[in-house]
Amino acid sequence: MNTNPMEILLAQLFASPNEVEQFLQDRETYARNCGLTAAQVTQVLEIDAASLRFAARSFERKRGLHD
Amino acid sequence: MSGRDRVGLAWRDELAAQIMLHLDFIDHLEIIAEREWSASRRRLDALRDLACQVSVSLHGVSLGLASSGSVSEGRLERIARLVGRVKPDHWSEHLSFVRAGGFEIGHLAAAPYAPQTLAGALRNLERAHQVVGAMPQLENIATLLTPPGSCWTESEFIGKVVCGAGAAMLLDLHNLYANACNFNQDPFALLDSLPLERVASVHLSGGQWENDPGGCSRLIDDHIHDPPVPVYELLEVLAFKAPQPLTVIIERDGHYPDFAALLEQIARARVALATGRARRREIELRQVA
Repeated sequence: MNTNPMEILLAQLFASPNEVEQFLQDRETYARNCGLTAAQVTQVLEIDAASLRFAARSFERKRGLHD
Repeated sequence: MSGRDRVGLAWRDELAAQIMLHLDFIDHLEIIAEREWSASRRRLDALRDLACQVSVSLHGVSLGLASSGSVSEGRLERIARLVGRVKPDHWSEHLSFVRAGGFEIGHLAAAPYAPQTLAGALRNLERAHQVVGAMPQLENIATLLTPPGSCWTESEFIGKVVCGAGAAMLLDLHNLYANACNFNQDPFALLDSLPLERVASVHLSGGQWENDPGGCSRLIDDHIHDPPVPVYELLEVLAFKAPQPLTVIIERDGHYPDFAALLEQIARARVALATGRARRREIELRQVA
């Protein structure tokens, strides 16, 4: 079964705060490069940047706890 | 408290000696499955012995069942082997995804609350049931972001997965509380929006408020702080609304307090359960009269 490209984009962002910054610089190009549909590209334009940064940092910290 | 309710702790090796000394006060122990994948035969025998003395569950943290992608057969087989060796009362996993497209998040994340994720989750759960021999109890997660592409609320998504799979729910009340705080929702209304009749187990844990550089505060679920008062209040309401037996587990992953403090948290959970149960009995008696 094919994984939803939106899930892949989220995994890529949650795996690295650096990716989040690249994404936020040009969301549309980043999303298209991840294979998102036009409708999905519109959806990622609405992501709250502060929440996304917070989430990525939180995941990074939790990964550190498990290392 | 109903005679069938149970209150216990998440097993951590750091707490092992104290847990064994206080087993009379602990009704249930939850063991992280992935930490036992490389366990020696002697350790697995000890876990089996433990499961003969006290109710035990195995808790998975890395299957990523709530995903449009397929769950790893290898991971399911490892869970199945562990379940076969330890013979727990039940096993549980999170309603989350943890990897996609070769990217490992390393923690629990929410995929879009949408039909493609629902279909994947139901397919993964059916496979988990086949391989392990039992359906896992499904736990709600804490999230800081509503997944883009969602067409349902988190509660609607949980209801569709849990009911669609015929699964029981492991309700993490601190995750619920954190999501309510971070998305400006009433935690008691959020509790009401879940399929409470399917709740079989409950997690109680704690977290910490953190500020982002923009000055925005968020409650982070970290398992290294005590459960806050609203979590016990939610447990009391749950005990009032859900008449079925509940297994309540205190989760602590670090910054361990004196064991007496953990026993106090168990006692506090028992009080919350008893208070909710008593309120329900009182209303039922009034209705009969």
